[in-house]
Amino acid sequence: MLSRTVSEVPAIKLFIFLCLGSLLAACAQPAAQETVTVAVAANFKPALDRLETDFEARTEFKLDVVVGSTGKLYAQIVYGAPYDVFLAADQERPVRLIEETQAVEGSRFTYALGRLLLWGTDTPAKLSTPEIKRIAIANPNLAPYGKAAEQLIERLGLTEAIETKLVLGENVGQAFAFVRTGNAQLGFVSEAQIIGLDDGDMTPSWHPPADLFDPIAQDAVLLTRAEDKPAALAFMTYLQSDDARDIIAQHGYDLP
Amino acid sequence: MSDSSLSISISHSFDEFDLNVSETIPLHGVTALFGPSGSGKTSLLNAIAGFLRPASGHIRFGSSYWFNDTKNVWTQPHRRSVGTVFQDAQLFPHLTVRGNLDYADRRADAEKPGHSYAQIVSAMALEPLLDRHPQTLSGGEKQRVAIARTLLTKPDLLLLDEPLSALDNARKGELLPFLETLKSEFALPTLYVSHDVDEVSRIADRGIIMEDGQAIAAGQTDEVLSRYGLEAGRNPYEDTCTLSGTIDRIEDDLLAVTVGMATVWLAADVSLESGTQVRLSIAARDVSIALKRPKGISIQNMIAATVTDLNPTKRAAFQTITLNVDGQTLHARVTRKAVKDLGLAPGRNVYALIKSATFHP
Amino acid sequence: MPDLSSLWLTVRLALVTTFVLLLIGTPLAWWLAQTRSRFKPVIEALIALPLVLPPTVLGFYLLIAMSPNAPFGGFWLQATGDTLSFSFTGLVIGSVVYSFPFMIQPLQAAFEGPVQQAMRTAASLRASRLDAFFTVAVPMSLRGFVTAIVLSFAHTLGEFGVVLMVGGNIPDRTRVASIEIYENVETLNYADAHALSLILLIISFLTLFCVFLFNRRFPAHVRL
Repeated sequence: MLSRTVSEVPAIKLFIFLCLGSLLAACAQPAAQETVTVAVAANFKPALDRLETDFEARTEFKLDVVVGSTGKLYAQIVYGAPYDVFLAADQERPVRLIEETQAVEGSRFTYALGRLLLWGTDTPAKLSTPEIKRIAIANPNLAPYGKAAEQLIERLGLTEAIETKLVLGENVGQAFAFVRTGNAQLGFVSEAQIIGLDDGDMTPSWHPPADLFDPIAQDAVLLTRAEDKPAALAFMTYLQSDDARDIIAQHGYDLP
Repeated sequence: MSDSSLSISISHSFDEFDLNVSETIPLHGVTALFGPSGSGKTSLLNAIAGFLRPASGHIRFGSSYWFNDTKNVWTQPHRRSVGTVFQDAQLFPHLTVRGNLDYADRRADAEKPGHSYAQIVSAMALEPLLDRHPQTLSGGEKQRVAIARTLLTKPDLLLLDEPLSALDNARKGELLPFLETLKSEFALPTLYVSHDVDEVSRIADRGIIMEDGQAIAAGQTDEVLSRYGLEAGRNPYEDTCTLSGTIDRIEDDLLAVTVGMATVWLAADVSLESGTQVRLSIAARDVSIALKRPKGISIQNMIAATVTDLNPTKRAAFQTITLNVDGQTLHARVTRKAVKDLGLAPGRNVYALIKSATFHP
Repeated sequence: MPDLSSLWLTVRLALVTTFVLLLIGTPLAWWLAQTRSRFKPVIEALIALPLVLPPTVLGFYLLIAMSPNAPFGGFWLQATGDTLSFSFTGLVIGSVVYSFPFMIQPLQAAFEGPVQQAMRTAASLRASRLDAFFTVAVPMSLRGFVTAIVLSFAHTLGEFGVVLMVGGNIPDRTRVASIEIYENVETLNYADAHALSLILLIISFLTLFCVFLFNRRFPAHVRL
């Protein structure tokens, strides 16, 4: 009876066809072995885009990118997220992952040294002036850049003065968005984010001297589930190559 | 007198018909607005109450304008001293009967003379219902509350929109006396909308017949109704006339009824005393016309009559001839050809041959 | 035991938002119930938009609109000396938009049909439109009001996407419970996440339970 209904009612046939079609479309992916899923901290995304193009041109492998704050990505990995490589914005999370055997021992290396930037003014004294109402930083609990910003503020002795003006972004990307849209007048972002902007942007910025904050060592680590995956191994190797390092440097990072 | 009349002259286009009414309604007694559904009577009521703003024209109540298109006058419905009783009572569900009545009472003009709360409640026999909720009342009870509620607003004009049409026959019978009380005790000028001939002829003093958005006749109730072949107790749109007569005697299971100078024989299954006044309903299609009294014909009832009017009917083939039978009106339905062949014209003396009649005491 | 200030902030936000919605929503719902304007479908669709749009879309556009560089945001900054984004007021505005259909739709439905006829009846009893609105329309629509208020309140309790975009996570100002729970989860602080979530769940459930209890106790027409 069901088959008769199906064959007699054109609408049902169409419906079934659409369901199957969309299922297939959803399943259609490049063969898993040739793709490496990279979880990357927000600040590094622009650089990674460029690296992706380069990597895919040089090898037969493909990249799948997941962006987030280091803390969030870390939590997801702990809970079994299907990532192959983790590009954190700190060292702490990668170290922990290795301790927790989620990442491969010996695969950790620093792929970039991040630089913090105060955006929107060329002097830090501006931070405590009354006409500045809102200062954006990334959430220190979730993002290393947020933590570094917090540290910098403390070393400048401004913690109490500007505590109430701080607005927290989910990650340094959101902190950047707050300043970019004008909702926050100043913000602590990564230098890499400024580099990517249009040339017409005349917003002033202040580069804090190296003694005021520890350079943000961003470590990469290979996750255990991808231990034998050729695409993942290839990418890790690529990241340390001169070509990759050139690109990374162009995007506003220092290199170890 | 322009002071005590409601002058209406309005036009408004609807999807189904165009409303075009020009009438002056005297502000005393009950005026019926009669017609089939879709004839515009409710729209006319809405215009008078203020729920519809006509496209053009004016409505003048006494000496003040409620609506005047050219002078851009528009009185809001709540400012017009007209009370409306709706077809389905429309009692407020969140208030008791008392609550509903109080609602109206509180908003009435305290200075204005009018009937007291107690008198109105008693006239509509609402004492036992005061603490009830509208949902628990019967159709007839709801209407009584609605009428009382409207009376409490001390209106100068009362609009009753088919107050009985939502009720079954038994309830209608119960409510009609209250309507008559309404008329006799409260004596408010009333516009009574209905499509039921019985109600109209029982309650109204005069009537306006509406069809397709126009008023096609206006005048004293009986006159207007019978002109259009409408009579109480019959399908109003079947052309029937009523003749009054007196029972003379019974012979061979037949009743002899004297109508004017003539005698009409009817089959009767009730025995009535001679001298009883009866009314005979005769359908126009049961009446034929002869120039001379025919012989050798089965029809027993032949009455002398005079032609007063040749009214063309809607169907081209037939015509309704209005006859005068000793002062009473009778309709005969004949073909146009017959009219021509017989040479019928107003003033002609003829015989009305009546094939069948029914009577009511 | 987690800091409960975010819960209190959440409840405050829901209360203020519901109140604002009641004020602007009632006249709009009333107008929709009795208008025959040809713009009615357009307006109804606009009102229903927050039902289908991802909250982040809403949040994104709000972020742009509230920025001091934008006309509205700039005006606000001048008038009050404070930015609209990252403020409680900004959240209220976001929540009002986000929960708009939850206030309008039940009210509009309650105002249509019998209530409109009752307004006519009230007019025939010498009640002005304003008088009739409060003495007839509102009592007859009580159920709709209760539904609208409770749904708007409950919906705002759970707001997340919009707050994430424009909140800035400021304690006692924009750090609502949903944000705090999210952060707790992200930092693997599950104990606090559980505690807060449970409380929020119970509040939401009780709120909704009240509606359905009310609906059952009082039939469609409330007797006053």
